[in-house]
Amino acid sequence: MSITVLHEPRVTEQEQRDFRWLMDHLPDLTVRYPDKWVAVCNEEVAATAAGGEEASRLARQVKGADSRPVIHFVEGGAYVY
Amino acid sequence: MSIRVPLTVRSLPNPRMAGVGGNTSIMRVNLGVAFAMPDGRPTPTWTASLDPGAPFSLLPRQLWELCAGSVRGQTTIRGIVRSPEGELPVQVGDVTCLLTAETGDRLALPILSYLAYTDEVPVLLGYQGILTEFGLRIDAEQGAGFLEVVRGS
Repeated sequence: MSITVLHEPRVTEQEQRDFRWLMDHLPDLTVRYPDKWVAVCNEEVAATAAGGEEASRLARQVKGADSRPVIHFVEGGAYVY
Repeated sequence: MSIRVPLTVRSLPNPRMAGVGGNTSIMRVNLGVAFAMPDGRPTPTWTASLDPGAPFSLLPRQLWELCAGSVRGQTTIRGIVRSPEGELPVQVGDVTCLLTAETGDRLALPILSYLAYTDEVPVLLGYQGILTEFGLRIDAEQGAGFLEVVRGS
């Protein structure tokens, strides 16, 4: 067993809300931002970019340096991995 | 004691098969994941697709540059296209994956991962280090599932 339970730092409530918002809006995002990385912060798309960290950096510029956007790659079709 | 990691199952539109009849939606099993950076702090949360068909996890460059530990070597990976044009060169390295339990605690797992040289790949959580540790339950109708590990009391 190589799993270690870490009680700190926990995932913030805002990160959890942003993840849920992202999952609830995936169908719409698939249409609007195919094959883009999106950064979701405060339950909205704060930035899109060609790379995930780039999207995160742009989102922090908009939402504040201390914000922790959730980063997601929007698949534009049925990719087989 | 059981520890569960919630999963989200979503049905997504498939514009490339718009002219095909029947249900052509794309089912994905997603979860939020972070990785431990060298100073121990977690990266921001990235969404990952759980892919039991992938032998190892796969990280895009901009993510593993934040968190990669030792790099063991290089290789190429192939998908359904077997020709050299379909190959993806990657490094193979150790990272510490941080999953979020339903309690809000983070679960740290050291995993061996493919580290892509490009950002044009999603975050995939593959079999090794994930499904070797957790059981998997998916209920597509409910749009949810979980990874579960049972530990001794």
